[in-house]
Amino acid sequence: MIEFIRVNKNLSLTLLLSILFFLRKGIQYSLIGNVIPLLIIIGFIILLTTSVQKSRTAFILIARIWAIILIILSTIRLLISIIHLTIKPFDNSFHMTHQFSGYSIILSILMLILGILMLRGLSKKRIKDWL
Amino acid sequence: MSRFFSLIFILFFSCSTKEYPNIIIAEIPKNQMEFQKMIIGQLTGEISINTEKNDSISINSRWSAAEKTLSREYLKQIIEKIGLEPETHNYSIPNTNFGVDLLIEPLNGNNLYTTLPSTSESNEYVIMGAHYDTGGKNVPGAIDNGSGIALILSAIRKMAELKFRSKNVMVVFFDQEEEGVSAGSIAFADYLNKTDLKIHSVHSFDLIGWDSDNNKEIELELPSKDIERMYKKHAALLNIPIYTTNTNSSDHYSFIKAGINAVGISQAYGKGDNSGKKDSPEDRYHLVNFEYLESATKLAYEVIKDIIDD
Repeated sequence: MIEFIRVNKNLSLTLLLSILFFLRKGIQYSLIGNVIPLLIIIGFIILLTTSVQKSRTAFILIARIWAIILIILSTIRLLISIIHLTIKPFDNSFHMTHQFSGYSIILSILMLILGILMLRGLSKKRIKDWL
Repeated sequence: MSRFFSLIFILFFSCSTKEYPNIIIAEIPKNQMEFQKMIIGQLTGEISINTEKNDSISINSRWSAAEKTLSREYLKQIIEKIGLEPETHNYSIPNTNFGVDLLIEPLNGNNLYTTLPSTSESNEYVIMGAHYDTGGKNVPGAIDNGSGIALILSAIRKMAELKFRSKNVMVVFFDQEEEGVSAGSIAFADYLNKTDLKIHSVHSFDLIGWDSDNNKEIELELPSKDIERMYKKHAALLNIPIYTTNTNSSDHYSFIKAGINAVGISQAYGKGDNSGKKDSPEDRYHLVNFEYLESATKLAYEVIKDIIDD
């Protein structure tokens, strides 16, 4: 694991940031009664840490799936934001408006960039061998 | 790459705080109708509110987080003027399903509540509730639900003058009723169930300021048999027409779902007696029928007084 981080600093950082974001969300929801997001992120962390120590191919596959999930989630958020801002605003719900405008759009863009950076970093040419 | 991570760092750790002006309520009118006019007027921007800095502000809507913070500050001042102590119940609850939870943040909000204590020792509570948020941007919410707030505040002020109260009376102003999930009342019902308070009943007032045919009619929503009997008894004494519906689209239903005896009280909404301006910028002060609100307040007061006289 330490060797992987040492040779793939940028990829490790993007992975860590995305995991921290969802881990925070998971803990936040588990504290208010919904443990599913936390179970999902813990499951992913277990898969990732196991694969990074055992198989390069498995690790790349799992990390790619994670990156694609990140891209899909951020794209859905951005699409909803665009619909809210241009086609049909959620005028009746402040919660939804707040979730899909301003700071949230920046967050969605950052998530999308993280996902793309991760996918790029996971190409066989770019990723450095650590095992 | 390093610039990108710096940007993320700045965004995640930067925060801003906004200060709200200290609201000053000089005097509250002794007359009930004048008091209710003041509350609805000030909660809808019709009447401005003085601040500590000798200027005035208006609450034009109670939709955004900032507007609701200002409204709570105003309501806290009114509660203090009545001689009670306001308390805030901050909550955070999940969205409707975990898929939505993965996409967005939980529903975070703030209920405001206060307790008028019983005159003899009691752990039993009667709760009067009304949501304080409005259903859209720039919606003043005079009838929905300034009317419910005004009814409760004037009733509790009158109850504070009673020499005997066998039960505590709690007043709660719920956040996020208009979000489609009644988040504030769901969170408050959950909070009550975690305490050892004995809840006699919850009376939730929503949309209680419109009466186009001036017949003073009241709608009871999902009452238990005991509560229904009590409202009907006092309505008959006050010559107020009353009927029952199975409406479950407001805060009372959050308590019923949580196993707490609750009822929703409203204008004759189910019979179509409504302004048609709900959740619109036209739900303004001048739409409120204050004679009707006074009559509904009298009924609510008599019912709760009967319960706490017991």
